Amino acid sequence: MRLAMKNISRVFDNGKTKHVVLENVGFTIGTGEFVTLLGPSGCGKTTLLNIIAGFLPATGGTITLNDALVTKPGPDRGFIFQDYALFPWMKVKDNILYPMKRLGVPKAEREERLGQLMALAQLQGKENLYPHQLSGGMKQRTAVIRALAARPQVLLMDEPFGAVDFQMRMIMQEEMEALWLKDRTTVLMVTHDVEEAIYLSDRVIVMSSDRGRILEDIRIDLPRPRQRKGDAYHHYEDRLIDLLKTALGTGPAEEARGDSRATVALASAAQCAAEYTGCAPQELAAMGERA
Amino acid sequence: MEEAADKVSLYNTRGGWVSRDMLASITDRRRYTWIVSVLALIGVWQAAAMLYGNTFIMPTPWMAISAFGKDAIDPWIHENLLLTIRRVMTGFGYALVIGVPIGYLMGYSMTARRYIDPLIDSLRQIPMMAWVPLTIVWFGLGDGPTVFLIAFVGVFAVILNTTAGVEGISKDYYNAARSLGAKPWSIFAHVIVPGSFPGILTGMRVALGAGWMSVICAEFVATSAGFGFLMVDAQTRMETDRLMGLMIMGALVGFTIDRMLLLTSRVLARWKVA
Repeated sequence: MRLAMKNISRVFDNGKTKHVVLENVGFTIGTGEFVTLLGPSGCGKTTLLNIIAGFLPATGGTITLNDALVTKPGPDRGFIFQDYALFPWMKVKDNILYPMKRLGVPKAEREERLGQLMALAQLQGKENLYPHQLSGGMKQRTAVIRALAARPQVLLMDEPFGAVDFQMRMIMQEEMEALWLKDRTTVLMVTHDVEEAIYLSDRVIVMSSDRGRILEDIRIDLPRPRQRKGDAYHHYEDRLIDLLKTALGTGPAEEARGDSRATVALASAAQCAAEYTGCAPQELAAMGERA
Repeated sequence: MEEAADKVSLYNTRGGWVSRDMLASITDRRRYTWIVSVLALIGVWQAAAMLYGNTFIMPTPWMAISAFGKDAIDPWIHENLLLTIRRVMTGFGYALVIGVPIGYLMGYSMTARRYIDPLIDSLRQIPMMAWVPLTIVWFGLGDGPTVFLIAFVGVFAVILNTTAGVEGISKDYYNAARSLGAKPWSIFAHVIVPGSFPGILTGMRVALGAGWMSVICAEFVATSAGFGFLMVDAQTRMETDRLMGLMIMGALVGFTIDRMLLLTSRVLARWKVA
């Protein structure tokens, strides 16, 4: 498995002004990696993930999965939505059987795989419930195994823990790791949470809010299952927090450089820092696209 | 977390919430306030009847209720009532067959919507009863005008609610289906149809309610049989107590139809129960 993004650009044009969200963004992901795209709100990371999923066209550049060009959504790239997007009118088991039916998996094999996936997510006995009868964590796991049912090459996850409170978030991260350790499908996750990125990832790619520029590509070299303590863990945390400041344009590195691009980043970052949540027009535009 | 979840699922299994509902309706005293209201209404009615002292203009509640009791077991009344219900169901059927596909089209395609919207909006402005003379010209007296009117009243409710139902489906569901390998047909059958179903059920309820209300009005003029005709008949015979009895019957039938549909939608759209 090789997922390669090459020179991806995306411009949102509302008729009057053009917002360059992504410009020449590129990186590659290999088999079995858990990779996180980390960046501040409005850095275009969700836009990039939607482009990879095929939900949104890129303005420029190419995405290849095992050397095949990606142009539209497909079962080779599973997608976990922020609010799971489980079909509320289908029972849990029908949600999971859905991709297998679409892909023409024979009935006997379908049922067997359903059993395996339910066991993997520790959801045995919940087959005949509707999604609204599940807890947040169970919905999350159902969404993951529904995506896995299509046997994707890579799982794309859009802030999968974004909609829950802090305690629940930690529990769900732990559940996610446990599930992933059993399955090991390649994952590309988007988040703005430093702790979450370190806890789950093998690799963290830090994106800047300045046209999605990639600031760092860091390997997280910690044993699994992960512990949320220890010097190494906190060292990563400090380093990524500093990088995120740079990503917003408030870090020391960016000021020292003082080139014109940094000035632009600073201008937009000042605005961003002032009203931290979702202030960047790019993110608003991206949210509009998704809604 | 697992424990809390199990509790939720326990309450939400169908047997669970039905029995809980029933329990609540027995123990909740507030549910019986309607009896007080109805008794008060009957009291005012009785006072008015006594004040007038003229049973032609204002029969007593008891007279109306006993007339209702006699009508309720009269086969001739049954025959006419069933005829009217059959008309309502026929018209309602047409409203669904025409309205649902148009609603799907308008909900899914903005282009289709731009063409159809002005059409519907202008037709909707014509007062419903203004169609009666024309439909008598077209279909003659009898079933034709009544069925047409019921279908016509209902079709807008069905179209508007189906459109809203389709529009209300989150874009995430389409994207999820496509990334799970769905072809266009599956998106229609497994996302659009079930996703818009609650909206369609709402449209059905409104259409049936409006159909029942307008059919009686149409039957006043356009036919010589049916429930509306019975009322005109009672009026011309100066049987005001029977007329009021029939009004009560009309209310009860309308209420029953609505409750039956509500129950159906609760069963069919069980997944919607939050």
